[in-house]
Amino acid sequence: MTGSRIRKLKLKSTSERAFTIAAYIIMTALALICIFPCLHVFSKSISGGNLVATGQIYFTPKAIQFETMEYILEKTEFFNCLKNTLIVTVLGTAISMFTTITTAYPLSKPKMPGRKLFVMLYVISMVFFGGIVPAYMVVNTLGILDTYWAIILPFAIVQFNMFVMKSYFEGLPESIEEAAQIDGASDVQTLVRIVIPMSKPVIATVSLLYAVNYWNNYFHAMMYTNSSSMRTLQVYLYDIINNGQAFLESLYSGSLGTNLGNSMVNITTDGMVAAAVTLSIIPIIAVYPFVQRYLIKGITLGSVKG
Amino acid sequence: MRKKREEAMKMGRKLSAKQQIVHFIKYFKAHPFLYLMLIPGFFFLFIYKFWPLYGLEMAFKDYNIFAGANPMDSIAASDWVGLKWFERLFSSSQFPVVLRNTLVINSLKILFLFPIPIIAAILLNEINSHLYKKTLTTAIYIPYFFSWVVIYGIFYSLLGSYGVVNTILSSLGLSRVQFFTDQSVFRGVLIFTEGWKEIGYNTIIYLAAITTIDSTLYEAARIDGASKIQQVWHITLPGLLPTIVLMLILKVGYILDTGFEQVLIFYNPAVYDVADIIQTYVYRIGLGQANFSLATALGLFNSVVAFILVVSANTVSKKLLGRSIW
Amino acid sequence: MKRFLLTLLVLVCALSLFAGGKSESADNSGTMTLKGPGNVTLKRLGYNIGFDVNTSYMVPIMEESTGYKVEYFALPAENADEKLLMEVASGTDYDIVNLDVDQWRTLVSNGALMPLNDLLDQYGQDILKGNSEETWAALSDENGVIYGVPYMYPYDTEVSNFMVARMDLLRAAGINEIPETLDGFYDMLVTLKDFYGDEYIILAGPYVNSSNGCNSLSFPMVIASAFGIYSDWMVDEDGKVYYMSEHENFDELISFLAKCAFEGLFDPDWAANTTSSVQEKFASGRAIIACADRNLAQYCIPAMEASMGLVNDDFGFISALEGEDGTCTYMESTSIGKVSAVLKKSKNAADAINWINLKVQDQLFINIGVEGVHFTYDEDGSINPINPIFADERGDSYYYLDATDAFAFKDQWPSRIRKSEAQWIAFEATTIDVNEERPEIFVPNDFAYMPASANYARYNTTLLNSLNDFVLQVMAGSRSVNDVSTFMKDWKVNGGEDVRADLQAYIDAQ
Repeated sequence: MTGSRIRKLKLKSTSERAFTIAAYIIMTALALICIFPCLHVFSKSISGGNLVATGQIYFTPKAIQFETMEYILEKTEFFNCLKNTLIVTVLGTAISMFTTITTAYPLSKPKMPGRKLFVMLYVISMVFFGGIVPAYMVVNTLGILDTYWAIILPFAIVQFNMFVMKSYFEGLPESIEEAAQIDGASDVQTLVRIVIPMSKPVIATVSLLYAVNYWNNYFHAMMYTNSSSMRTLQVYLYDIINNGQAFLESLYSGSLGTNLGNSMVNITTDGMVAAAVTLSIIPIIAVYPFVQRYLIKGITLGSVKG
Repeated sequence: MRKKREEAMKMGRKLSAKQQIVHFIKYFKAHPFLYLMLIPGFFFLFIYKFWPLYGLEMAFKDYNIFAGANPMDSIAASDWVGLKWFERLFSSSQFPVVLRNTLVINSLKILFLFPIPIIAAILLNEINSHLYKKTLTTAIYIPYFFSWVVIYGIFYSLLGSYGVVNTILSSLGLSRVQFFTDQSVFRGVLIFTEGWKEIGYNTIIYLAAITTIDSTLYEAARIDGASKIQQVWHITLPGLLPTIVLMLILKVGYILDTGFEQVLIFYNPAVYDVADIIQTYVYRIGLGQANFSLATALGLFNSVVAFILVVSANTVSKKLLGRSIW
Repeated sequence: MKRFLLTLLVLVCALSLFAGGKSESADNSGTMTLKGPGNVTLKRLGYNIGFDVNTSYMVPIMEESTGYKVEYFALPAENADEKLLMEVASGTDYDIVNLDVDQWRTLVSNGALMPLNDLLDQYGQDILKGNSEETWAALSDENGVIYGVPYMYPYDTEVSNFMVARMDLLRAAGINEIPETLDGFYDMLVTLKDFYGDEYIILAGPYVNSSNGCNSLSFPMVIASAFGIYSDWMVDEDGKVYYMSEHENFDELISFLAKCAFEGLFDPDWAANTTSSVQEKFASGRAIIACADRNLAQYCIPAMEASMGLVNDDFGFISALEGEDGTCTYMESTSIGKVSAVLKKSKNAADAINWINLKVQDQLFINIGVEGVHFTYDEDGSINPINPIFADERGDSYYYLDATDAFAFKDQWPSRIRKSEAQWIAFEATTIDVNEERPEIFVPNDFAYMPASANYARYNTTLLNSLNDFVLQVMAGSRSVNDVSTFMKDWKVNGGEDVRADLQAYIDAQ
């Protein structure tokens, strides 16, 4: 009896170990596939200008230089655009999380009358889009063109993220909430004291989705702002990427012409783009591990719910 | 039979209007905050999503942005043209080709790319070292931050006729593959790059969902001698089901709508026959014309299809899995 | 479900009433009076550019010269036309908008621009005098009302698209001379292919640079020249307007291109290449010959000399090729490059014109600089820039050009090419060489001075793009010469005949 049980446990552990090893191998491979092309961008951003221009940079930097990075940071509007993006991302994520939680929570209540109608409105608004002219005119009418609000408020609630949040809330055990309500807690109190603490993983996830949304958003910034001081990082990136020729014109003319040997020789269009992309990704990747803490807690959290 | 009636009662379907109102008032009195909470969301929803729907009128008009005092007035002031734009869209000899491409490319993307994040999330959960897990998740997540223009640049230098991959192939004595101009492999390039960009993003949604699964279930299963695969099959997957269903329904809804930017940047005339999708086609025939009406008509068509697909997918899932997003 | 939709409908209707109720009235008073430098900040909208248009070193230079404070704006990199139309239609307050000719045509035909005749008479004499009658006619409607001020492309007979070849690799394969005929060119490609096999891309292309004139074709114009083809729209001896695909040699041209592509003489990625990928293929030494313009030369040659140890002598340039029967045609580069216009709702129209006029008066200082500091005069009177200060302090001036004194700028502009030695080598070997040896190949640009046409503005981009796509598909083998008739059918559906009618009317009126 005991013997067979031990054998069983041992068997399990080999099968589990095999599974874990497979997980390590597969995920490492996937991560490598994802990371190799990124190394390409990174390598270009710090490699010697001639090697970049002649396409000799693959996955490792050669003839390392930081002039391109310095140029981006010192001579272009990188920091101002970074500031704009940071404001939009932080403010936007806060506003979005507020509206998303307050919307997803009631809609996750199966017994709430009118719930189906409300959800349907969100589904409809997700698939139907009036076009860029009315969208522009709404922002224009509200008088917020060329302000941070013009970039933030259209994303104040993203239906997809709301559904992810709602789906998580629905998976939470009802018993705890019910117990709290029997103790006389209002819905707001239940949400703040019980549901939100239990929902750290989804709050981390959805915050991240929103933050990335704001960070990566090009369209709203492009459409609803026009002064150059309002440019966000994405607008800045698109401007650089789309104007290779202009960069050559303004950067290369003197330095590579009759006066070869000028320090600008290391700066190429490709290198500029790569450096700008690299620099624009670093801040949000730096934040990621902090958010991830909550995602990874995983199963340990399950036992609390009981 | 009784069960069914109960269900109907629950859903509030078979109740008379009066009963519904009574029920609503009762619930409202008990939970006023639940309704108040909805206000901020709805405020933005109406301002930014429903108000602009007025613009759908443009799909049936020959919109001239200068017809009125401002672009909004111009909508009313433009001439009605009935279904002209839809006819232009559907009557083109290219339409069947681009419709087929749209469906094929997006179905292949769902088929190949939908399961990967689920598997990735499950596997990630198996990795014991927190540091390594963090590293891996960050690694698969980074590509999401690249715009398509940048991704094209990367993959062009990897997959171009004289790129890294072809250099390796030809040094092995194999023939070069024209990834960007060969019609038989180009869709593969689209699917691969889409996967490369999006997998990390979707994985974290499943990672969060895995945390809702009760860990005592695993312990019980282990004591019962269930293998890891069995645990995944009988505990993890069912636990993830609501999220999987949600994601699938949303994906299906966007089947006509995704990939525009990617295809526009990646494709070229040599592969139009296999890669031209509805939106890229409309973009090309309207190029330089800023044809808002045609774009609106296309958008409306896409929306209607998406709406039908979402509703049907939801119905199917309700029937088969008992899960519904509303 | 029905109820939801009904609610939705009611909601939409209610909102549309709300939206429709608002209207604005334009206030145009005071635009004709000059407020003067220092009393007004002008707003200028330009095209998209990679740098912050307000922090360039050019901004203080222009402010110093004109006394006007100007705030600069740029269109976005994508959806630029849509945004321009929306901003203009919703009554934005830019004073000057710097447009490409198609955008300008669209705004003129919608009545969004201010008539400039009186303003030019009063404040814009230098702009008026600096441009020809023909140019002004192109910017006026049938009643002679002027709606924009021009930036003329400053060189009339430039071979703007050519090919650059690696002479070291050519010599190794036994080729010492750059071919001048199409047959010689083809033989050269075949020799190179036999000699190098798959080791190199023989010819990389296309090089599509839309910034100057009619260069935006997906195949080399120096090959088309041998077939007597030089533009998308052409005019025959009888004054009839026809499209490139209707040219008698069009079939031959595309067959030739398809043959080269099929035999592996062209880059297999031809259809997928962009300007920068062609550049990179040439600069990295993977291609022997590349389609090019002087920007490519400027970028690649110094980089290759530094990284591969090549010298100037290792680069050869192939310009317009001759056909068997001696046919060779290349279109003149005469064209209106950009148009600056004043929006109808501008409150500072007089100052806008005055500002542009001041910039024309001080054109040399703003665009070329100060003698002895930024440039010197050669013995023949031509301008020789002093590098690198010229590039460092005047390099960006092209972005801020509105109108010019076109006559003077023709003499001033070539110095801007000389800011780069490599660019100048390419320019000498192609443009200057052709102008000296065989100027007869240049064909006038019949439509350089064509006034705004609504159909042209509306359809021509689509037509040109489908022509490009068709030729690329023929080269890739997914279409053949037999599909020209299908192409023409689509061409008609896409408004080809409407554009032709407008162009024909213009030619008939000449």
